Amino acid sequence: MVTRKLLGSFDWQMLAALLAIAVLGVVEIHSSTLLTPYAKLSSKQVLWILMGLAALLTLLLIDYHTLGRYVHVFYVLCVAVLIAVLAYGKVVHGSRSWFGWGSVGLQPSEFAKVVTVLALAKLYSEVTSTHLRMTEVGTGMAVLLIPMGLVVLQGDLGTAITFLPIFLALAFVGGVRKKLAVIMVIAAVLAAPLGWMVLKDYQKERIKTVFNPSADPKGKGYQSIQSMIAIGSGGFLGKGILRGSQSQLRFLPEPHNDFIFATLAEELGFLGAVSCLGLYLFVLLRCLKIAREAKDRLGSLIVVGVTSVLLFHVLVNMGMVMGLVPIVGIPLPLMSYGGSSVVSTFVAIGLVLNIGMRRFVNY
Amino acid sequence: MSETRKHSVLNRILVSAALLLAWSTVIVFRLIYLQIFRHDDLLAKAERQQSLTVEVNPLRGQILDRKMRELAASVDVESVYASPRDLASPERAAAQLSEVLGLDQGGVLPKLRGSSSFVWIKRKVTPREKEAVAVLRLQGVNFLKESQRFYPHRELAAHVLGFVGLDNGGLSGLEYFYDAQVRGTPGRILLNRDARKTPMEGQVQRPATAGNVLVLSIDQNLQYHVEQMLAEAVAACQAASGTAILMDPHTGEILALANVPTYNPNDYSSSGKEAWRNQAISDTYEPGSTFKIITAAASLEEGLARADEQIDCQQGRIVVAGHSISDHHPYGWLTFRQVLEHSSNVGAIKLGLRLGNERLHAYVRKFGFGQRTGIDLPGEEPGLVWGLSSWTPLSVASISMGHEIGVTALQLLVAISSVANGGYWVQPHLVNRMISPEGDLLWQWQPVRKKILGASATRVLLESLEGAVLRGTGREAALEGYRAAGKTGTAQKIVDGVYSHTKFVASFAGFAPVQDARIAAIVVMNEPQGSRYYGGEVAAPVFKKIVEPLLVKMGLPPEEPAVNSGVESEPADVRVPDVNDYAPARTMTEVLPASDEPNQIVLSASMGNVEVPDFRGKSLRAVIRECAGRGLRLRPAGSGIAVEQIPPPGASVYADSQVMVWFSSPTSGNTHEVETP
Repeated sequence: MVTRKLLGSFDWQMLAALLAIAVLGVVEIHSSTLLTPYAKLSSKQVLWILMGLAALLTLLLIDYHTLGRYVHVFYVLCVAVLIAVLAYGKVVHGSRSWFGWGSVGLQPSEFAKVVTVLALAKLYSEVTSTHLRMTEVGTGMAVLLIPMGLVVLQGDLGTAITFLPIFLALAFVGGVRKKLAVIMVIAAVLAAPLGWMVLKDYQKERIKTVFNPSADPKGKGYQSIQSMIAIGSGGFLGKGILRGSQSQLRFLPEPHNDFIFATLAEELGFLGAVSCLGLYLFVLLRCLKIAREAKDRLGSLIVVGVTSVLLFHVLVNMGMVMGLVPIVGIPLPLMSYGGSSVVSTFVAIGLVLNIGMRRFVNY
Repeated sequence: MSETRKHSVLNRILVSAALLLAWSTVIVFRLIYLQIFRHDDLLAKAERQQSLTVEVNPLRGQILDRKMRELAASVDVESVYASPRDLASPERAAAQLSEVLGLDQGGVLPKLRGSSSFVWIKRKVTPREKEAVAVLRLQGVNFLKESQRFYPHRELAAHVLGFVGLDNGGLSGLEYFYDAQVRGTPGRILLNRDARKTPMEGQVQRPATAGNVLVLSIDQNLQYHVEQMLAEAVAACQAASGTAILMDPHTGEILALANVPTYNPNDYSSSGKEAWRNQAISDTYEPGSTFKIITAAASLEEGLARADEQIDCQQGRIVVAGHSISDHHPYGWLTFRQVLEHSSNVGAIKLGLRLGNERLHAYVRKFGFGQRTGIDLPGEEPGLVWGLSSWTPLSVASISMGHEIGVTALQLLVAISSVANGGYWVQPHLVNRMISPEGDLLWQWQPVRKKILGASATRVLLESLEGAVLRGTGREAALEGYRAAGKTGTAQKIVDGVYSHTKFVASFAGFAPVQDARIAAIVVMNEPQGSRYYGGEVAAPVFKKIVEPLLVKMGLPPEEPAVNSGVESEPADVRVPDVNDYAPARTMTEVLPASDEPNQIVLSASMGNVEVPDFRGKSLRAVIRECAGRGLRLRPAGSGIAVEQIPPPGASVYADSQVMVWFSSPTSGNTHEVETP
């Protein structure tokens, strides 16, 4: 039960930072879609945020150890849903990763990340030795690769990549030997050309484009260049809300979605962008603090897993809109428009807050 | 949990935090780079692409003839463009647009699929097409006004005017040569959209300013007349092509310039490139005998020959550098004048040999051969004059009679003009004045001329060339009522390196009246077919048909023909026109008003054909009535009954065309006889 003591340990500041980010997101979604057929999205986003908040609060009631105990059930359910999506899902932007009911869509892969975090954290929390054994590394990889593989099969490579940091972070913090870590890094580097061969042509082009966006400014480099123009034209103070001409005039692709950070940087300028980055940094550092102070290894690992996923999203998304990283369809958590992304992010942070508020509880 | 293990977990979390901070630093630096250092640059880029401006063609300046009649005009037409970003369904739009505009759907769709904010769908559509697109009410499809060049008289003066491309750039003729002056400054239309406003239709940011107006030396009616005569003549002798140029020999003003074949500049792409070619200045040919004028002029000017000097023409045969050259007719002794009149090769060669290589070459250059005349038209050829070092021992003989040399028709016209104007080389030109759109005179042509012949040499040449028309090879060029001078030429064309016996270039260059010439003209017929192919047979009569009515029209009083001032040829061959046939005081009277006002432009099909009736034998009153009935503008001259008309009966002209009719009093005794021009 949630006692007075638990409430006393609740991280209100972090929740406030989360909501601030979400509100920034709603403002920018509103600003960038006002003139488009998507003008209603900002109010829908508010609805998603409220739903996410409700999910977060509900999750606080359940002790995370209870969740850990039933993680097999969640995991199996999650895999089943991913398979179902493959069979019955709706194709959006070339990937079959959605369940759709009318205008409402659900992207199970977003929730699968949270379940994978739980499952891996549970697995590595039960390790007794100082370092992970090879079999444990192997089992962990299997736990990761089943849902990740299914997402790859859906054709949603961008989302699939976001599973990787879960394993890397948990293996790293969970105690993989330095030697093994180095070997894995080398193996990954060697496997990269193989991966290159697996990539589709348009994905290869996107990677090439990062290194030279102006080679094809009207074509493959278009999104990247338009995004950088949006950010750069914002300047120090920005053009003001509803005045971001790059997004208003639809030069910026997906200004309310994957490129929302560019929209924000254009309208609110360097100050706004750095403040936004600061809010994310605050949340993530707060997460790592909770990871350190967690009561037990399961708590620490769950928080590390969640943090890694969030961090990866933030870094890759911001890098992408600023032309540092290839264009991959990864949303900016809490800000980009999208129900599944918003709700699953709130759920994940709910787990972190759950662990944080139970750090002084004895069992 | 052991303490060491817990420690290692905490350490590794710290490492993660450090990595997190490092990446954040990278992001901040990138933001600083983009938003602070590259701010100006990227802001400029953003503004450039957002406030998209479209250039609008300005109204191209008119081209008018010397009497301010419109030869080339510009009218506003609509063009259809789309903003693909604003289209609800590119597929539907492509299907509808391609249907009403008669376009290929496969070509339209890719344009509409892009994310740009401006693509042309179809330029310069008809009013009907515009209406059809407007009815579709497609969001993101709009119109822009553009300027369309229009030549109301179609083929008239096509080679002088040239034509313009889709973007209103001059591609040929005067349109090309004076493009910068005529084109005007483009306007800019801003296609900006504010955050809270819906996309607006093009806003004029800077209006286009119209181009300057050109006033030519060309006379529209004269040009029309020359074109008709040339076309008839080319058809009659089945020549491959033909050229005629008329110039004021004193000022260098080109009064008419025509080539066959020609083309319609309103629809230039439907005729072949050959038809676009302005042969008058772009084609070089071996002039043959007409070039003997230069040999004769040089020997007179150098004091190597006298007018009445006897030259032995050796019964039509001379050997130079081992080559035997013969005359068409064997002549014995001929005077200097007769050498030109009868166009003796032997006589000309003898004069050339007196001059020698250096002096002959110097005069060839002095007359402007081997150099562009500098006429204000593109594509002029300099012709071909070999440098002295390339001359063979035969060259001096060949060049003396107009071979081994390449000239343009215009060069030859300028050369003969120097005989007509008292010994001056004049630069030919087409544009007399340039006027701003507001009507201010910007620029006026100043004649460019230089003295190349002395008075006595000019006088002798004048007499000799008149003799050629009166008694020599150019008799068919003789005018009724006026004295004319000129020289024929017939050159074999070089086919596969040898002189052809079936392909000729026949020419006549001349001027009239002999004293104080008003018109210098050259007629070149390329490859006339059949038994008549001499310059005197196929080119000289065209000169007569062209020039004779014009002198009448100019109101020049008829003159006493200079009949044989103690000369040798048989008078039986000479045509002596009956001077009394002409009514004495011939005045141009303007009966109908407003004939000099620029023509009204009608884009519709009413520009179609009107047949010119036969006015001959009718009274002025009847002719006025008939012209009014057919929508023709009458320009009468003289009084009495109609005796002559331009254009001739049965010709098709455009509505509102001008018809010139000469009237003569039936009471003046003899019936009037004029060859139908």
